[in-house]
Amino acid sequence: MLSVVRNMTIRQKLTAIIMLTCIVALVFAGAIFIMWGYASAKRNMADNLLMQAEMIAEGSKAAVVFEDKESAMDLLKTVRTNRSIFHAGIHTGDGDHFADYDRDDVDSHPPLPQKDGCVFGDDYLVACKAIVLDGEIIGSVYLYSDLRLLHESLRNNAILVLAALFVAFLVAYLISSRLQKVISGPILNLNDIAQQVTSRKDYSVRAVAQSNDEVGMLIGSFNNMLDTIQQRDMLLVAANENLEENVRDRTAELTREIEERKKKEVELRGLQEDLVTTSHRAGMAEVATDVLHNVGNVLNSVNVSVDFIKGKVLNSKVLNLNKVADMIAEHTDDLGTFFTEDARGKHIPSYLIEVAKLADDERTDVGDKLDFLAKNIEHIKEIVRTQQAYARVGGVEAPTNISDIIRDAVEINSAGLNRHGARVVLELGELPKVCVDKQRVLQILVNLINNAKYAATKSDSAENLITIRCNRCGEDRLRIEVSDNGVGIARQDMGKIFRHGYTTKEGGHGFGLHSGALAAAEMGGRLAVDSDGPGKGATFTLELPFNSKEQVQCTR
Amino acid sequence: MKIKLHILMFLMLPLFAAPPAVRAESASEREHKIKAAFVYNFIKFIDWPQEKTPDKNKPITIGVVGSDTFVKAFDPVKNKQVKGRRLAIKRFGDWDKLKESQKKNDSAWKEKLEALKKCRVLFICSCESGKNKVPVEIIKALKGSGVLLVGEVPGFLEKGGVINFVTENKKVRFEVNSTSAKRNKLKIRSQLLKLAKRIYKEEPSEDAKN
Repeated sequence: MLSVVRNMTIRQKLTAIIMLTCIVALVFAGAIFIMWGYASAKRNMADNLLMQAEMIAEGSKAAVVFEDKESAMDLLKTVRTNRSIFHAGIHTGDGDHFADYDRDDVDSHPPLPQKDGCVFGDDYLVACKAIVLDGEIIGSVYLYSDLRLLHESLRNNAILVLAALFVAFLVAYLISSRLQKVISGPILNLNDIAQQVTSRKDYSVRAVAQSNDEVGMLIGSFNNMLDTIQQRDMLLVAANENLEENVRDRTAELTREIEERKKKEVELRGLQEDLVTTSHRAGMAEVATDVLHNVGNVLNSVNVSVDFIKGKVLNSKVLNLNKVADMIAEHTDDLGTFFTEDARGKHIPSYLIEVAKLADDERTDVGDKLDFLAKNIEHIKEIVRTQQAYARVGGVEAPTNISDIIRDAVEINSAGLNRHGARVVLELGELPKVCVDKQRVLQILVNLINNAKYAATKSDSAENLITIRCNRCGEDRLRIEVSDNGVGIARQDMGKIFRHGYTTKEGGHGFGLHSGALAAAEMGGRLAVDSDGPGKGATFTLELPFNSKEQVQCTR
Repeated sequence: MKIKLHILMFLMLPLFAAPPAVRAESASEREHKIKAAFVYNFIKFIDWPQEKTPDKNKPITIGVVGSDTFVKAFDPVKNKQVKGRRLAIKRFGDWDKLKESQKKNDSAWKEKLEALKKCRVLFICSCESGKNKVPVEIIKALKGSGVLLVGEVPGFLEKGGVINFVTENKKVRFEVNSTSAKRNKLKIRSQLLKLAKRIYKEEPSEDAKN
């Protein structure tokens, strides 16, 4: 049932709805009409029959009291005009049969009613009326009517209603099939347009809204949709037309791009090579800074040594010998007396002995200093050579006593250490000769000692103490610790300390530790720092592998 | 219970029926009874003039001229209610005696005549006497008095009676003199007239002659 409704067109649905409504209303009205008609026909019939009975009762009074049966029969026969009445009878007061009338086709009749009025039987109606004369019931009249007329009227009414229903059905169909167009017309029109659009791909057609109701709104929306689709379609067509061209263009573009890319690649390769060269140079520049720094450090010591020698030479007690020589020259003639007699002459021999002693001492001092100077200059030479080695083949590893390197580093810094009154404590364990890049290790240590000195002098501690320890660390590594009781390092600065350009020194470059750490790493070791915090000193630890010949080569 | 009662009554029926069977009601007796009932019923179909209508509490009187046996026929209707009043039967004795009294025309007759005039209906029985003569004298005496004169002899109407009984196929029927009824200011209902065997109308000349 539902599927039938679902498969109906809107046109059919509208018609069906209108007609169903009409028919339901009509059937309802018709049923009421028939029922009402039947009831009123029954009432009318009963009334009429009772009236007739009353008339007969009235007219038969005399006949009954005077027992004139013929007259009563004549009276009863008047009911013949009413063909519905099939039996009529008059009974006397004591219930005796007085007069009868039977329709021709009737030979039996239903039982007598008990009282006045009308009673409907199964297929008959009986009216009973008492004959009253002077307040005395002298008999009764009975009229029996069949229900033929009633049924006939019922049937007629039913036929009438059915006919009306049929006509109304037709009229409703005609009207609804006309009226449904008001609603279905625009929808079907819209559907046609939609199909047209679908089949012909023609988006230029438009539906015409004929009303301002929901369907009109729908058509408006549909047209708007078509507008949008049309625009999009046009764009699409245009895009399609351009697509091939676009593809061709794009292909060409891509080819060109690929070629360019290849060219770029070649260029890039060249650039990379350049860059490598440049960076190499840059590396060399960095190394040069390193070298200059280290050379600067050593030159400090050289300067100090030179100053010392200069001072020694200029203020030498030996210079007083000139006076002694003059005195001797004056007294060349009487040297014996002079040495023995003269007050000043007598002191000359002892003086000379003294001077000779002094001169010897000075010579030793200056000789030492010159040795140190020479060592420093050698160090500079080494630095430069190292630099040259870096630039070319790398450092030279030779079996070295690490303690010597440490002592050298302290020695290089000794001038500065003495100047600032810093005391260096060495705690060097027994270590075998190791194969390291002596110069680099030396540089690192010089740097560390220099830093430690600086930190120690900046602090408020009574004594500027620097402790250098050297120990084995594991099987194949050694550890050199440089500790100070200086300003210490804040925890947040720990990370930055090896960064290039980071410094806390006035006039510092932020280069020493950076290059030190790099060098340590290159040698297969590492440079670390530890501090308990500001004012609590710091310890720099340099770890290096023992037989680092291979290691160094590996790192390079 | 009711059924049992019916059965009982059915069984007792012969006991009640026995006396009439023994006495054997004669045809004339039955005829008299019917006539008495008819007379009684006539009252219901006839309207009397206003002056003839007595007070409510006074009875309607039917006068009977004839033998006692006939008067007895009126017993069933005696004291019955009719038109809201009691029905009374007054015996006037034999017709012959009345006739004699009339001839004398003394005070006794006058008294009797007044009594006769006061009746609504006067039934004059003539069959009993066997003379079958029309009581012309009484009719004349009560002419126009408003009394319904009922007789039972042929020619009764012609002499001025109002209703006359006739027997036809052993059935009691009646005929009416409409002129006489009018003269006595009696309105006879059409229903009654319809049942009349004959309606007699007096010729004016005859009227003048009487």
